[in-house]
Amino acid sequence: MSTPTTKLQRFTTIEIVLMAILAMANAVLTVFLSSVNQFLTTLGGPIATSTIVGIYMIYGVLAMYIIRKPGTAFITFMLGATVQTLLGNSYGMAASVVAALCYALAVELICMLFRYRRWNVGVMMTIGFCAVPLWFIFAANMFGYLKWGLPQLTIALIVRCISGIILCGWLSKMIGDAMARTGLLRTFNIGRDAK
Amino acid sequence: MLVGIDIYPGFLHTDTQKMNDGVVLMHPLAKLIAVLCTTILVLTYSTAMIQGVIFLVVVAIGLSLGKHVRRVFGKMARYLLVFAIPFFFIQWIWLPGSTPWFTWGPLQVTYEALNYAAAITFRLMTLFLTSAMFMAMTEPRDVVLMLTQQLRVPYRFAYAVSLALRFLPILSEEAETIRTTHQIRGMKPPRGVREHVQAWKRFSIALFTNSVRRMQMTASAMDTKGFGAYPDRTYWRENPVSIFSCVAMGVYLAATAFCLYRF
Repeated sequence: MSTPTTKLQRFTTIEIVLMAILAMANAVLTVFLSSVNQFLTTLGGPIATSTIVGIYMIYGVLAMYIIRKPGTAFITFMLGATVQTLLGNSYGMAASVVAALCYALAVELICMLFRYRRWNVGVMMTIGFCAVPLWFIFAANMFGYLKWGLPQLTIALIVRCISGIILCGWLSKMIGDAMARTGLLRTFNIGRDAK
Repeated sequence: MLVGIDIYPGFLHTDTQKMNDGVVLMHPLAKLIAVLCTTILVLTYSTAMIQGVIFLVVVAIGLSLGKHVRRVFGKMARYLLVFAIPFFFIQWIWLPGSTPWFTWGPLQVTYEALNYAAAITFRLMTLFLTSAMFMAMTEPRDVVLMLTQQLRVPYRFAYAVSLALRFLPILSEEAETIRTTHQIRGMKPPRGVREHVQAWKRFSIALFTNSVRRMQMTASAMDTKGFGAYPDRTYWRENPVSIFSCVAMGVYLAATAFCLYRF
């Protein structure tokens, strides 16, 4: 029987380094996105800001797509939340951590459902879609969306789900495949599966 | 692009000389508990009055914590204003209510919306400020030590936080090198959307390739030094929770429980 330590040993050092780099890239991206978010908020309120939600989740899904091991999304999202907290974001520590937990839970569940073996566009889009609703419920409480009214909430959720499907699920697949084609990811499961 | 990034300047601590103010000496775990207690309080209440009071208390505490935190507060003010003011007005306009304040064409602005918009804006600003105070008063390496020594996070993953923070200037430098190289090779500044997309693609591929090489070098170096070879490790510096920090944590928790019970 495997102990928690041996389970964690499943990750090689290079996989941990990759997760760290993606977490760092996300923290930088979040800083840039906060100004885009402000612009979208001014332009079209909460629905316009929902259009870019998928980009916030891409790093964890991309890590999962490349590493393809249980726990990857959880570790990457938690790393991302910690780095974001240390570098600063517009939403505070609580929002970063809760969002990371919600995304990680959804991504891990869907990948577990497919036994960490199927990585086609449909599965990736399903991951992107499923990562959205749980955090939306928490965000609705945290940022006061609950008072918007049902039509606005429904539209925002639909827009977020579409954003999750395209900007998270589909884009992760595209970026991951493009990275794999360079041959630099041979040491990861994505490289081995491509052979 | 990574070039010229300025991530909330002054937040990230690297200079211990600056960190001798106020409660900076408190253990990161105590500060984390303080942030969590404040988060619980701001997420519990939804009236502008209570949120405003919590916000003012946080600002007052922040201003009393010494020069460094005050400087960070000053730098943050513009971020807060740019973010909070549009957020407040959008919420005010979007939120429904029953007592109209004024009507402008199809737009009706109500007192209920004003109250709730103010409450949510104060909530966001408080969440932001408390996190910023945590960052301003805590060294990242202390956070990593807290993760491993107090929160029992496996060190292989806790150290990934340090690694991520260390990669930031390295990749920033790498991005600058790529940009300079492209200029030296005579690449003209892009014009139009298509050229911009191509330039961005060229830049990101180069950055990605260099990042992967750096990643492989770093991982090899870490493996060579035995990183992750054993389930546990020793520490050059221990960071135990002091009695002062324990008392502070007790006070935070008791005060939060009192507020939740009383209000």
